[in-house]
Formats: sequence, structure tokens, C-alpha cells
Amino acid sequence: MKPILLRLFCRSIWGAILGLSMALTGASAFAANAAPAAEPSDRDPEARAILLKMADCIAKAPGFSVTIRSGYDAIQEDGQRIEFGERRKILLQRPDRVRVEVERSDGERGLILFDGKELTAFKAEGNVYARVEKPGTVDDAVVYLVRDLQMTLPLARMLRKDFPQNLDQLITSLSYVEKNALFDVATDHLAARSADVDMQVWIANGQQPLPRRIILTYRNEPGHPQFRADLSDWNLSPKIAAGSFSFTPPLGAERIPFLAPLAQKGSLPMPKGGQK
Amino acid sequence: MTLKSPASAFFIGIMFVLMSTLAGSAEARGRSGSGGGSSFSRSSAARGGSFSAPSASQRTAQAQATTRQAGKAQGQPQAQASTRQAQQTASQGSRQESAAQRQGDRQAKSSENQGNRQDAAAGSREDWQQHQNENREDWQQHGDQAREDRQDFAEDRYPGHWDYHYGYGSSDVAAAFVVGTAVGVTAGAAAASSKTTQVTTVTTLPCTATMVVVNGTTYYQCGTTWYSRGYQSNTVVYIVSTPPPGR
Repeated sequence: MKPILLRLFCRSIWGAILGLSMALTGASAFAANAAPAAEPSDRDPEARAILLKMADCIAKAPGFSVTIRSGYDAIQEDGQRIEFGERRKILLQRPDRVRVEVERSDGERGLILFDGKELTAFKAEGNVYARVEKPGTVDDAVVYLVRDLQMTLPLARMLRKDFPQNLDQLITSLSYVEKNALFDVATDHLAARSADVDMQVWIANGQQPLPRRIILTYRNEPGHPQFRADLSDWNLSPKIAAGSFSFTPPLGAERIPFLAPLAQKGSLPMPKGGQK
Repeated sequence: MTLKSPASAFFIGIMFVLMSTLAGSAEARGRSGSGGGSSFSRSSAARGGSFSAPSASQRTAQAQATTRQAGKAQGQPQAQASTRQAQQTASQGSRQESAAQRQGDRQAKSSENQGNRQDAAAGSREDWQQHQNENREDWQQHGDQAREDRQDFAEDRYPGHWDYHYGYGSSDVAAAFVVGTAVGVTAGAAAASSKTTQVTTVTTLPCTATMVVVNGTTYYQCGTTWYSRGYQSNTVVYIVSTPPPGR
């Protein structure tokens, strides 16, 4: 607990630094969503600057590769907390190429590919793949994949160019926790809250302020399940092998249709659809 | 695929009333099918690693909007299949009941003698054709509506939370869309229309199925029911299908 005077001092200093940095970088996009006057006490300007710098670094990169080792809590009916894990290798090239290799904790492997025209999902178990035409950008494909196909793509917002604006909109409170010395580089540990999710993120210091660890807590869900991810092997100028984004079906692979569950969607209330 | 052929229509009709049977078997198996051999459920709100989640009030509104959704939110995925079935049965009215009755007769015959079943099928094919046409219209409307919803899915459901979806992993009988045009898809998807293709899926087969590969598509047979595969929410599910050509 800092003395209140010290806190105020820190805020005013960091507010000035933030203002300066925003002016210098011409971050007009942030300005649209920024409301420093409305919520000065909830969002630490220093933490916000660090967070947005991180998001901006990813959003502005022409491409990147990263390995995400993640786990999530599955709260059982009796309340027992079980973690299941996944490892994903993401290779992204803006504006319209992405490759995600998935390996689940139970050994199941898969692949998601987008080449600007088609989305393909492959599952090694069963040797099956599904493909759908979806011309557009990575930003479009990511939303389609998660929202419409209901595919799991953790931290999906991180892949989109509007990641900084998105974070800034979602976050209602933000604090600087500490400088963490346990990674291979020093990291800034931030704690943020949105309306329903608590987020902690550890952001590397230095030229590439990239997230090294993220924890999301769904505090309004029964059992408060968490999603935890360690992000490693960041590369903002990855070598992209030929064919990285095109799918060559393995021998004997069967193409099957993508399905979207009607059980959820068909039963939706229709405030908009009903008016059409 | 000759979806409008009498044989297909006939089989689609059978599938429709068989759903109640499937729902029953899914419930009997409980959630054993969800964890790939494990008895622990993988279902989790945290699975998607979403930066956002719908607020409690949004979820409540959602839950009130549909009993199905409420069933899932409360961790009772098995209940929803039968609930939905009940709703469907009710909405289909007496037509459905008479169809079920005929189905019962047919199944009895089927177990006695496969050949007789074929004859019976031929005999009442016209009934089934009509039945199916009516069904198709219902589904058509249903599909159109659902498709419209889907256009604004994220906005309608949890505004701004497009990356949130509950990571279900439970065994269930469900209805689904075939996404996009089904061109190049050889699976024997049921109830195709020019706009949407509506299918019934199960996450695990209700039996140790006989497997055949016809024209590059793998079919699974449980009794008189055939399945092909579909890709849904990271998992392979089984689509109640028309029988493979030549069967």
C-alpha cells in the first residue's frame, strides 16, 4: 500500500508521460476510447501505457510467430477443478494469412489454416479436415472462426489489428502489480478487470514489449475457472516457409463438412432479426 | 447426391422420428463420451481463453430466452436434447405422433425381417414423402430464421463478446447447420435445401458401428441408422445421414 500522496504523485507523473507519449505517437485510435477524466482512479495510467504499448506492438507487426502453452480449468459438477492443456503454435502474416498448430494435452493434434480465401481445419485423429470459403483478412477470419464456427482459439482478440482498442474498451480497472524477475527478461506484471473477466498479464521490458504470461479469470462463472497461458518464442519477423498457409491433405484424409450448432443459435432471441 | 429422391426422403423421415431414440441413448450414456475416455468433463467457460465474457445479466436474459440455453448454463447438457425433442414433438402435433406410431410398427417389422421392411417402406413411401415435404418446409423456415439470427449472432447474443463461447464437451444430440455451400461435401447430410442444410448430430455413436467407405466418405451404421462425420467446435461429430449409395 502506497501512501496516498505518493500514489497521487505517481499518477500525475505517469499521466503526463502518457499524455506526452500519446501526442508523440499520434495514437488517435486510443483517444477515441480513452476516458482518463472519467475514471482516473480505476485505471493506472502507467499500467495502461504499458498494456497499450504491448497491444500496439502486436497489432502493428506485419506478422509474428508465437507458441502458446495454455491450460484452462474445467469445473466438474461436484466442484472439482481439473486443468486441461493445449499448446498452439501461431504463425500470422498480415493481412490475410494465419496458421495455428494445435496439440492438446490428451495428444490430439490439429491444424487451422487461413490463406485469405479458405479456412481449413484439420484433425489428425480420424484424419479429417473441413474447409469453407471465407475470403477476407485475418481479422475477419478470426471472428468467423470463433463466433460462427465455434472453434476454440484462445486469446483470439490478440490476433486482430484492433487489439489495443479492444483491450482499452474492455478494461474498466487496471493496476501495476510489480516488476517480475522470474522470466528470462524483466516483465511488468499488470492486473486488469473488465466487467466479467479479471486479467493478469506479464509484459516483457525492452524493445519488444510482448506478453509472456496471461491469466484470465472468469469470476462470474461457477467455480471461477481460469485460463492460463505462457507465451514463448515470440518472433515479429518470422521466416515463413513456402506452403505454410496452404493445406495439403495427408494420404487418405477425408473432407467432412463444417457444422455450426443450431442448438444455440436457432434458439436465440431475435431483437434484430425479428424486426427485419 | 439425390436428396430429393423418394429413398432419401423416406430415410430422412425415419431419422426425424428416430431422434427420440437417440436422445434416450445419449442420456443413458451420460457424459462418458465427453472426455475421450476420461470421466472428467472438458466443458469450461475458460476454455476459449476469451478476453471478454457476457455479464451475468446478459446470461440471465439469455437463459430466460430459451430453456435449452438454461439447461446448458446450469450444467445439464443432457437434459436439453429431450427438452428440444419434446418441443419439437409438441410443435409437430398429431402428424408427428402418427409418424412415430408408424415408425414403431416399422421397427418391429425391421427386426423381424429386413426384406419386409423394404416392402413396407415402398408401400408407405408416398406418406413419408408427404410427411417429409411438410417437415422440410418447417425446417426451411426454421433454418432461414436461424440463419438470419446467425448474421448478427455476436451482437444479438452477447454484445461485444464475439470471442466468448462456452466450451461444451458433453455428449448430446443436437441440430446443426452445414456451414457454407455443401459443394464437394459428399456426406449424406439429411434434409438439404437450396439455402441451408440442416442435420442432426451426435457426439458419440450409440453402438459399436459398422464402418463402410463409399466414394471417399466414411459411413457408420448403428442398426438402421447411418452416420457420416462433421467438424463442429473442434470435435468430430456424427451426422445422421442417408444410407451410402448402394445400401
